[in-house]
Amino acid sequence: MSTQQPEAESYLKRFEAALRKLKLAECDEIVADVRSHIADAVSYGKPLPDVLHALGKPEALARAYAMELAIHPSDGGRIKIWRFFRVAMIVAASGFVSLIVTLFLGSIALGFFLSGLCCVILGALGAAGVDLGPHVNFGGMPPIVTALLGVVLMAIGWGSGWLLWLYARFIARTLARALPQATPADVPTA
Amino acid sequence: MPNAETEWTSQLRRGVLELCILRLLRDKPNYGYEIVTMLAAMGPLAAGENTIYPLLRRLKADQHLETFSVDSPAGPPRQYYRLTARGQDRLASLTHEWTDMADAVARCLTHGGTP
Repeated sequence: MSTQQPEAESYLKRFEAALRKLKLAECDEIVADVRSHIADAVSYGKPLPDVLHALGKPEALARAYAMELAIHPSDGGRIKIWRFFRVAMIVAASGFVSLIVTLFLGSIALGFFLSGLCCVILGALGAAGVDLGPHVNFGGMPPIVTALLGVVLMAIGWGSGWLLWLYARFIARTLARALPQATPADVPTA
Repeated sequence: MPNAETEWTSQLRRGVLELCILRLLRDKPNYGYEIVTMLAAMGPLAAGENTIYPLLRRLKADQHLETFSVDSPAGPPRQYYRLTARGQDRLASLTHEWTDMADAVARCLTHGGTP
């Protein structure tokens, strides 16, 4: 059945689209509630534009529903339980993998970068003819080769740091996707 | 930015609205527009449609309310909300909590910190 006013229909269409985007359960019933509300208010003599204005923007109304249903998860909601397990799985798996990946990449990043830096400095000083004392040994290589090798080591260290950053970003995004989308900032205070 | 009083009032109302809706529906089932109108007539309890309708849906999701459809002369069939047994229990426990809270606040406002 229809409320028969084009403004109301286009409001409801936008509202339904917003609800579907937020993946709310019982979309049809929620739309039916709002449809009845509009019809009732109009039949009590309220002008349609006022009724729609009081409801607020359809997208904001949809977010208000998402917010109310997300902060107070329903008892038997399969989707919510699934979402909980999904978040728990990501945290557990990424926690274990992170332990290995961050240690591995982190130690490579720090160790190679610092060693490379030392090689570059000492190699450059050696090549410039500075006397570095008896404890600095270039292993038979010309100091300039040591300096160049240092650049390679630094690049490896920097690359590891970059991979570590990519990994952290990937984990953060995966987690953000698994969490509910509506946040308090999305919903206007009435 | 809303002023402090308005924000405070709306936070307070948000909390008690659930209790009041359960109480409104204790005596007889009702539909959304009537519930909105009844609350609008209660001064400080007047909340926007965009607060009340989502709250009704959540109370249904929590199985405190259930809905049934009734044909309406105004157009599409109306969804009536009715208190479930679980909703009755919830109403009783919230009423109890509210009474305790209101007593404590009244004591605090009257006597301040002195016992």
